[in-house]
Amino acid sequence: MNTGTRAAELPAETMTLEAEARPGTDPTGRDRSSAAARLLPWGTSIALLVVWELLSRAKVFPSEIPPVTEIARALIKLVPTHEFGASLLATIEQFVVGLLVGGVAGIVLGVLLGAVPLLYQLTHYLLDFLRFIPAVVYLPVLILLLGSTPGVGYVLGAAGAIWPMLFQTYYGVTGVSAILRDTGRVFGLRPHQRLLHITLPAVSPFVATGLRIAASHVLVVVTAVQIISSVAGLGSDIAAYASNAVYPQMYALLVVVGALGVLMNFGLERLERRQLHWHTSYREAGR
Amino acid sequence: MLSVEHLKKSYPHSGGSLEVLRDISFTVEAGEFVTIVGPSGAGKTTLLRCLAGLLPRSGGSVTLTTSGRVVDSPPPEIACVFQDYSRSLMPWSKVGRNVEIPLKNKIRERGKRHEQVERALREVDLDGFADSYPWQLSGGMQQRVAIARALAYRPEFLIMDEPFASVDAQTRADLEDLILRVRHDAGLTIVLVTHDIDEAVYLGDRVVVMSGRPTTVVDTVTVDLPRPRSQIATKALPRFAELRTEVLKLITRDGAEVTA
Repeated sequence: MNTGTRAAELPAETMTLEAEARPGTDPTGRDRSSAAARLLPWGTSIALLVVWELLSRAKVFPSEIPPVTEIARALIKLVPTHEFGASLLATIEQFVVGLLVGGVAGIVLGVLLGAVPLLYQLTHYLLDFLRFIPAVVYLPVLILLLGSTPGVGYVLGAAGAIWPMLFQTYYGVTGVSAILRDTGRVFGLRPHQRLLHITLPAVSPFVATGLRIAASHVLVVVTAVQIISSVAGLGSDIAAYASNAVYPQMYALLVVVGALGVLMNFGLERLERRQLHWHTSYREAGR
Repeated sequence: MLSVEHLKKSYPHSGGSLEVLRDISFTVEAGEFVTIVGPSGAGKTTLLRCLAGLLPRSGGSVTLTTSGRVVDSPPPEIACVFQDYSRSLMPWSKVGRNVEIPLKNKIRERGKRHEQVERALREVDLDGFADSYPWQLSGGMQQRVAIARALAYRPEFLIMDEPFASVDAQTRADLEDLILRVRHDAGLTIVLVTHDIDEAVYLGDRVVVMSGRPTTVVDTVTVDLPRPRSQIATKALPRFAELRTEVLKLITRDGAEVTA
């Protein structure tokens, strides 16, 4: 089952591949090409923004797409306000709570399903069905039950986090090498010691991948929930600005949400690199 | 003493069952070094996993006669060294920790545990490597870590599954001599499985020759070579050549029967 997904979700070896793929016999040539390689994406990004600015100023774009400079001005004006701070905090809070609750639940269930084959056999049709239901479809029911409260964000955020965490953890637990498991048993380690010293570390690269997938899901879900319902957060502000045709402010908040995603990914990558320094993907990078 | 009587093992296999071990009986006396050779696919790893209590038997018994204990789960008297060191060591733990973790239940006191780790690493000439990660070491050194881990556990029986099959020839010879030395120093009883006839004769007091699958014991050859053994002197003895021919004949004769 799911071999395709599984391969795609495995901790990627791309780090080392990229590092090796870099050209470089001649040190100066290598410097030049890597500097160019680093500058190029910035160049294209800036060029695109300039094109956007010009097209918008030339009225080629409709008025719903304001010039970049106007968006930047709106952002600078917006950021110091109290309302923005409150919305940002609400979004981050829903994100963190959702990821934490869903993530922990996913790990616990994943370990259980991996350790007790019967449990997996009994439930895996159900799980395979549930995992593909987008978390936001539960929104109407939750709004009825909880109203437009942060609780809706917590619950749906958790629902977005639980599946990638559960399945990644499960793959990790079932993938622990037989020799390593034999080793733990031969040397008389008790079940909790085997869990602590063998299973959990062996599973951690999978959990790290799960965490990164889960984090992006949660950010999507939390923002979508806020846009659709009126649960407080950056999403509901985006919806409010959009429905009142205050476009520069709306885009400014889009930039903020995007920046949140980038920061989150950057942070998780750093954490992963530090915690998994022993893993084959990070060995070279670590030293 | 370890006593194996009429050991059988079958796996369920596409409706029927796959018979791997048909009838295995042999004993290992205290202090003895018994090597087990057989053609590839003879179920050698299956046999060792049954001996170590890692795999339930389909029939027969494995008994530790000193304690009268029947081996149904891994007993504290037995330690193992597996073939694939890269997967039997924990890459997330440093060398010292890899050796120390199995001792957690045997030695409660931390200082004593560390002493034992130090000593075991010294025994395999790895002092000073406790703070390295296993994957920073060469294959031969990693296998020495696995050996140190088994030694630190202070087992009565050391069970080794083709422990030198994944290293180059020179390292292999070094590791063979290392295991002979530590065995002498620690007074260990060793059961070692290999597919290499030279290795089986060079290391063992007795060689148990197994047939192809379904596996039985073809014969047991007593190795009357003097100890201490040496890669050069021992292997140059006419008796060494005779013994390896004897074992080879047993294996190929059985092979001929199987194919006939």
